[in-house]
Amino acid sequence: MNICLKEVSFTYQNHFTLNIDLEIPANSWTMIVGKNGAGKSTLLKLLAGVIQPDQGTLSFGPSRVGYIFQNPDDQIIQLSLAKELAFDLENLGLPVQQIENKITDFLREYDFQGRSEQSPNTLSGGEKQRLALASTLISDPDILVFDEPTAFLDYRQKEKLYQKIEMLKKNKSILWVTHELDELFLADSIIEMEQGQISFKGSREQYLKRLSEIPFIRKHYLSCI
Amino acid sequence: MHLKINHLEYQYSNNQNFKLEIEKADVFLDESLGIYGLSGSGKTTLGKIMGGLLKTTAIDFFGAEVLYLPQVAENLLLGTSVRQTLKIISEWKSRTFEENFAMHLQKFGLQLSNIENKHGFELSAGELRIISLSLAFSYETDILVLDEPSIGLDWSARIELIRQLQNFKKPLVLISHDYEMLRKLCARVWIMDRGKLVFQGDFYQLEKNDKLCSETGINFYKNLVKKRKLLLS
Repeated sequence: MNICLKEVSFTYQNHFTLNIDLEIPANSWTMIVGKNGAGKSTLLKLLAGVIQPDQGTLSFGPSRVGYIFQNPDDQIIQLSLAKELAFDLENLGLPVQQIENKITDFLREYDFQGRSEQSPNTLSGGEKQRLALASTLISDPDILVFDEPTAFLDYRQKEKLYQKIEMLKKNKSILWVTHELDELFLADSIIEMEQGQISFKGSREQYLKRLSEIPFIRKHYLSCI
Repeated sequence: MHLKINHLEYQYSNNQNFKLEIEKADVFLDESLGIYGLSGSGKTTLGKIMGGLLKTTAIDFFGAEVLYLPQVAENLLLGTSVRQTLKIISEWKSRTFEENFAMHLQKFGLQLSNIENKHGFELSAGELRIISLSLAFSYETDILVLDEPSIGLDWSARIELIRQLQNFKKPLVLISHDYEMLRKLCARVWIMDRGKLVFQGDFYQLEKNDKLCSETGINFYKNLVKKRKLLLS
């Protein structure tokens, strides 16, 4: 089912207004880009249900949304890695044995073997983001709403995540905010935001062509190594 | 400026899985030092030790004042609003502090008058990052240690950060997994791996070590850049 935002608006304390009219096809990977303060995270918070629109409607059928916060500290709430991974599964009412098996698999897949009882407080920034990703993906949501999910990750973990999402995108809708130029190549389509509005929406090829014509980008992002 | 480490060992009381252990390191900070490594390798722990947030006697800056800017920028707002934070810092810094702060903000494309009355939760993560960087640049210290300074910055703000760091007159220690930024800014690089310092040298020496480049994701980054060049040119 497509994700539909119809004349949605949201205002933060009279400082900032978001106005969005948007339809995103199901089972596709959409990257959201834009300057700091353009409203990217606000759009994701609306999609994830963290905030409610002042006006307009939002629909995506009976799909379940998995949300990755920009700051992993805001997301992690449990006192051990295993409990953090179990949280969504327990809420979904899965059998205990199934939860335990899944946790074992995910601890291994995300390089946390033997650390199930460790407190998330003791993790590094990159490890916290890895845990946030694992504990969101473990419950297999239909729509993935990711706010800079790789900002704290090292290149090895980025590579792993790109491969994983490439596999998942066949039957999931992915909305992903990024500042990483090199991540645009993964997307099917790209949305650019500016001052609370959508300033571009189109295919990856169209957007990359646009980017390649900007002298600033050519100068600073093609002249390295 | 001179940094010396001798038998540095550090372990958190609530985490037996990690131990920072650096036998010896000696570096003159006349040029910027980059610290790179995978997540959990001990970069931030070392940064906090450099900044004096974690106590040990095994590290010596020979009396220089070190300012450490943490990875999570929100933690830096001391008061309830930007204006109040400025007021608190101005009480012990010089009168020019606010002027400098406003100038650095402007370089990043932010106006002090637009954000001064905002509280932390009304600012985006990128804006908070720019505020924290501008605070650090305006705070006159001998050595500046920045932990993942490029996280959360948009394309142009990231380039502006690199430009400001290139023109920064004081010694810098940059902790980051943004290899491209480190390569542009640092003359020397340290690689951390599971709590140990496994490489000290320059980028030329580092990139000759294919095994290390592969293990630390540098080769993956290089492939991304190749792809970028192909698709954008």
